[in-house]
Parts: sequence; structure tokens; C-alpha cells
Amino acid sequence: MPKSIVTHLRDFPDRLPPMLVKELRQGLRAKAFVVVFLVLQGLLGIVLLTAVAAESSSRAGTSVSSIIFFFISLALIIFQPLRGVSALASEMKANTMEIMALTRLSAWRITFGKWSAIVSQSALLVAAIIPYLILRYFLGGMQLFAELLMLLMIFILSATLTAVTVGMSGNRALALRVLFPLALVPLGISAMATVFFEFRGMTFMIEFFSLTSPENREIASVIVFFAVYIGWIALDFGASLIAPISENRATVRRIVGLGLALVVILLLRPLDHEVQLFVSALFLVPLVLVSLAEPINVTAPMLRSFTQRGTPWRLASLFLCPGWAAGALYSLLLVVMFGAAISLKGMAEDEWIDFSIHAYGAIGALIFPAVVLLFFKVANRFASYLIILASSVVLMGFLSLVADMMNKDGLLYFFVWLPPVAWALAEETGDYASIAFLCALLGGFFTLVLLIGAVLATKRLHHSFASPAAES
Amino acid sequence: MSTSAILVHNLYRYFGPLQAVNGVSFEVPHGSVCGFVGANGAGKTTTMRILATLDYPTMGTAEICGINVVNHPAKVRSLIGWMPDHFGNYEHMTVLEYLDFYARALGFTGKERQMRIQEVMEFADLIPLADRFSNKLSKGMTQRLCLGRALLQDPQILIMDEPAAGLDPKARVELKHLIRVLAEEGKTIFISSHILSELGEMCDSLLFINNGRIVHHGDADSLKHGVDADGGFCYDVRILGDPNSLADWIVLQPQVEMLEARKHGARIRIDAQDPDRAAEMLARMIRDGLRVTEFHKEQRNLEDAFIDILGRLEAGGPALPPAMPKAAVATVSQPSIEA
Repeated sequence: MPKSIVTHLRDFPDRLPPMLVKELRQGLRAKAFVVVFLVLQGLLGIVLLTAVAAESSSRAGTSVSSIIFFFISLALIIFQPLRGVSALASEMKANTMEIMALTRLSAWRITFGKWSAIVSQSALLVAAIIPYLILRYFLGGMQLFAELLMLLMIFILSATLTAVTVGMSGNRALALRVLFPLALVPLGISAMATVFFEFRGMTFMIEFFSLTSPENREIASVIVFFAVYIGWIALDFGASLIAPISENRATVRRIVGLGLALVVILLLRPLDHEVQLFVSALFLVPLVLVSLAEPINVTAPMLRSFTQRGTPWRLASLFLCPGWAAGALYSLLLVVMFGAAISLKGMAEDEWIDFSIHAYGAIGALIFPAVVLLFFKVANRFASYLIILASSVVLMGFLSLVADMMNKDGLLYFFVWLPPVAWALAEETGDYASIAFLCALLGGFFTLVLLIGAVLATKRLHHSFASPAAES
Repeated sequence: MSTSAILVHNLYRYFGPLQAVNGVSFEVPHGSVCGFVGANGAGKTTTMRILATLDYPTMGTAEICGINVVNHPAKVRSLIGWMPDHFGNYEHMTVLEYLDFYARALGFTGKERQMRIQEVMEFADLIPLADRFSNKLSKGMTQRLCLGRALLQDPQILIMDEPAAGLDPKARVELKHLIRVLAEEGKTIFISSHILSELGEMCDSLLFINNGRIVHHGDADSLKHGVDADGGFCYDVRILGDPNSLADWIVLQPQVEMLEARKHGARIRIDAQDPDRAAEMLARMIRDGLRVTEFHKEQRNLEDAFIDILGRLEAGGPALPPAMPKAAVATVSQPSIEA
């Protein structure tokens, strides 16, 4: 017997989370990371050598920055997040998730560990390009602070996108986990090419990240806030998908969401109407989407924890209980809160019209799949919800294209029940007032149907746990 | 506080219209090995998953060492080791790293972690495999690794779902040996398997489940030695002369039932649990002029016993002694037949 076989297990200290240790051990040996790392190093080396050889050119420095940022963005914003698409699903497929659930690892720690391992590797990639940025400094024309800040922002964006793919990987539907992100890859690459290689694209970015104006600083803060917020929601939702049924994640998420909503509402008060609408939508969309797409997984002790604490908690259960039914009421509460905050400031008639169309287009688009799902029994609610949502957005694009090509804007009127079509219709016809009226009517109808469905589902839930045997 | 290691009372689990577990009740005492037997889809895995806090009962109670699995899942998890029927291993991770990960996940740190890993590796004979990638192991090695993982927190109760499925004979013997050692150490083991003969050798009691209901709970010996669900013994009897004379004799005996006529005798069932009664019957046969050449208690294998029980159920008869109340058919709380 060897002295002790385990003495060489000292590659990671005890204080690191177990999931991070596991994922790093696996991830650093994975071909996907090694290949991206080596290719990035190779490409940047070649680019820098070429630039040094052509040092005479006055634009060499800026061009090298563009190339470095394009490649690191490709690695961080495209490849690294894509590694998250099977993060949780692979564990579920191998039946190892349940074994992990029996340890002290909560669903959140598992999901967070998966995410942090990929993000740590992204950080390694960032660290690996720092020497190239230092060398590029000698080529001249470098805005050190702005470029480092831009690199940081790309890293934050990468971390958020990784959180989204890791969170979505908790769903068993392969199409949802893989096709959705893959469909966005061409869009992402072309956007990056535009930013870094189009005329003034890079200059604009450098100017922005210099943060010389207060406006830019505010925008940068908002971007960071929403990156963290969306990342948190995505990871938390992923955790709720893999959590044992006894682990209630929805209630805490909704309470935190409510608190954040109050903060955002307060911060929005001095801002313009359009900014208010945009930021409100940005805040509401992820929270409402997650609340409406959540299946109802409630246990008797979970329900008891609400009902046995008196009337306030009983009332709170209507909004905070896990599942889409309470999620629908919670979403409506949030919408009412934001709507009230925006309207209390006072709105002109055209602002009301604008508000109605945008609220219907954005929030209606989220309510619509939940209304459709009231009439179908589906095994995978989250996947079905997202498919309906994505289909309605794609259909909106297709319809507006057809209407545009045929020069028949009236065609869109037939499809205005599809909430995103309201945007296209308003754009195409310019008849904002009547479209706003239509939106208010349809939005009210969908909300009413969803409310009725939610109340009935809540009643069914309480009824199913009403028998003493179920409570035992 | 329950004295049982496992206590299940009126457990139900419905998946939509499917009644996977349908009013199951049983107890497993501390330090015993209990085999859980049933066809595919009988409700074994669902019951075990509820006990392991991985699933949730529609109704009823399940307790591990007196702790409710629904209300206190975290406490229950610290008491059990779970081996699922199938699981995958991780890519790019060695056996040692695999155990290290689970030891960390269970909260072990520093020297204690190293000690626990060393102990389970020695116990499950994993030391030669320490640097092998865990996804490149044979099925037998994988099961040993899984057992090692389940033992990391030194659980009081091991719940093993079909641990021998897919193993070659050598790996089965190894696994059986490890289970025996664990049983000798005083661990409670709740194990399901299709290989009843192996369960019979290592289990103190067997629990038969069919269509979500417990149809029998008894020890393996009693089943092997012909004690049936109604509390009788089965015997093979051979006589010299006309076998019909034995059949005629049986008709006149209220406590004897002919199960099967044979060329030189019959297979009979004596409706009594007391072996003295069997001796008395044999004496009566001889006294009544039957020339008995063989009279021996039937040793059924466990598969036959299980099939017998299912056959009786399908025929509408009780699987358990008639003296038990009807409600108890699905809620046997004690072994129904003592050895």
C-alpha cells in the first residue's frame, strides 16, 4: 500500500468552492479551452509581428487594437458562453445531478460553480492577452484606460452571456439550449466586426470608454447593473430548474426582484420618459419571463410555510409561491408598479400612446405565450414558453417584411393579436392613436385571461394539498 | 423517535394517472440488510428515490432514523449513502479527483478529507485506479467507485438501487463481498436487485413490491424452505404403488392440499407453520397404509417464491396470511412470516 495516495491532491485550496475546483480540473483539460487559448495566442502573435514590421504606418496601433479586440471578443463573447450550453444538462444526462444534490451543494452553488469555472477560464484568456496590449502600447496611439475598460466591459458581457447559457442549460430541451445561442452567433460576429472594423466604430468605443462625459459614465453604470442583474436572474433560474422540488428558489428571487424594482423606480424618477420606458422594459423582461415560464412545483411543506404564518403571508403566497400562477400575479404587480411610477410623473397624450404601444409590445409579448399555454398541457413549460415567444418575434419580423414588400400595411392589422406586431404596425402605418387603443384592448384581454387562468391554477393547487393525508 | 432505520407508512406517489407507489408501508430495523424486489416499473426506484430525498411523495410518510424525508431532507441526506441504478462519470477527471470533489462537496476539509478518501479507496479497492479517468472504468470498477463515493460520509444507511445490474460474475462477487463487510460493520442496507438468489444470500429480509404495493415482507430462508404466503409448507412426496392412492388420501385431509400430481407421488402443501404438524402428517400417511419412500420439504428458489406470490395475487388470492386485515395487504409493517 502506498504511503498515502491522496497527498498530491493539493492543486486547489480548501477555501475554493467544490464546484469551481471540479469544473476547473475538467475545464482546463478540455480541448475546447486549450484550442481557443492556443489559437488566440497564435493569431495575436502573428498580428503583432505584422504590425511591428509595418510600424511606419500611422494607423498600425489602432488597427492592432481593433484586431486584438475582435479576436478576444470572439473568444469571450462567442466561444466561452457557448461552452455553457451543456453545463447543467450534461450533469442531468449523466444522472450525476442527483448525486450532487445529496451533498451539501445547493442548486445555486452547483450552477454558480459551473458559471464561475467558465468565467475563470475567460479571465485566463483576458490575462493572456495583456502582454499583447503592452506590446501594442509601443506602436503608439493607445488609450490605455479606455482600452482596458473596454476589455473589462467585454469580460462582463461575456460573464453575463455565460450566465444565460449556463442558466438555460438546466433545461433538457436540446433545441432550446443549443439552437437559440447558435442562432445568435452570426448576429454577434457581424456586430463585433461592425464595431471593431467599420469606420469610426473603434474610435467611438474608445471615446465612450474614456468616460469623459457624465452621460457615458451613467450609461456604463447602467450596463454593468443590467449585466449583473440579468446574469443573476439567469443563474438563479438555472438553479431552480435543477433544484430538488423541496428547494424553493422562486420566492427569494421574487422578493429580491421586488426590492430591486423599488430601487430602479426611484432611480428612474428624474429621467426622461423614453429612458424610463427603455430601462423599465429592460428590468421587467427577464423577471417577468422567468416568472411566467416557471412550472408549478410546490410541495405541501412549502405551501404550509405561507399559509401557517397568518394573513400577510397567505396573501404574499399569491405572488411569491413558486410556479407561473403566482408568477403571473407577481408580474402584473411589477408592471403596475412601473406603470404607476411612469404615469405619476405625468404624461402627455402622445407619451401615453407611446407607452401603450410599447407596454403591449414588450409585456404583451411575454404574457402571450403564458396565455397560449393555458390551453395546452406541456411537459417542458420553459421550452414551450420560449419557443412561442421566439416564434412570435420571428413572425413579427416576417410579417413586417411581407407587408413592406407587398406595400400592404393593413396586413399587419390582422396579426395585431401577436403583441410584437404592434411595434411593426405602428412603425409601418404611423397610426399611433388607433393602434394604442387596440393595444390597450388586446393587452387588457390577455391580462384578464391570464389572471383567470392563474386564479384557477392557484385554487387547484390549494385544493390538491387540502386533504389531511397530503399534509402528512 | 423511531427505532427503525427506515420507516415507510402509507406512501403514495402518483405521476399523473400512473400510480407508481400505491400505499406502501414497511420498516427496516437498524443494522439489517433488506432486499427490495420487484419487476421493472413495480415502484422500487420511486420508493428508493423518495427515501433518498430525491423525489416527493404524493401522500404518506417516509422516515430515515426517525427523521421525515420531506420535512428535513438535509438531515436525512447526512445519514444516507445513495447508489443510483445508473449514472455517468465525469470526463477529464481521475478517480481520485472524483472522490476529492465529493468529499469537498460533503464538507470535508484538509487532513480529514484526505483520510476519508484514503479509507474509502482502500475499502473499495480503488487505489490501483486512482489516476485512471473515471469515465474510462469498467462497469464493475464504476460501481466500486460509486460505492466509495456513497461511503465518503460514513452513512448509517445505504440505499442501493440495482447495484449488481450489468456486472460480470467476478464484479458481482466483489460487490457482494463489500456489501457483506458493510453489513458486518452494522450499516443498514436497503438494496434492490433482480438477482434474487444473490439477495437471498446477503439479506436479512426481503420486501416484494408489485404494481406499487408491497406483496410480501419476509426472510429469504422462509421463502426458500417452502413457507408460502399463506403460512404453509410445500413438500415433495413419493410413494410406492398407485399414486392415486396418495391423491385419494389427500382429499380426506382438510389441512393438506395437492399442488401437483407427479408420476410417483405429488407435490403437496401442508397448511401449518409448525414442523411438528408435518411430522404428524407423515406419520398419518404411513399409518393409513401409504408406502412413503420420500417426504422432503421443498426448497424453492426465490424467483419461484416471487412468481408464486405474484401468481396468487393475479388469481385474486391473498399474498399474505389470511389472518391479516385486508388493509394490511399493502401495508405490511413487520415481516409477515417468521423463520
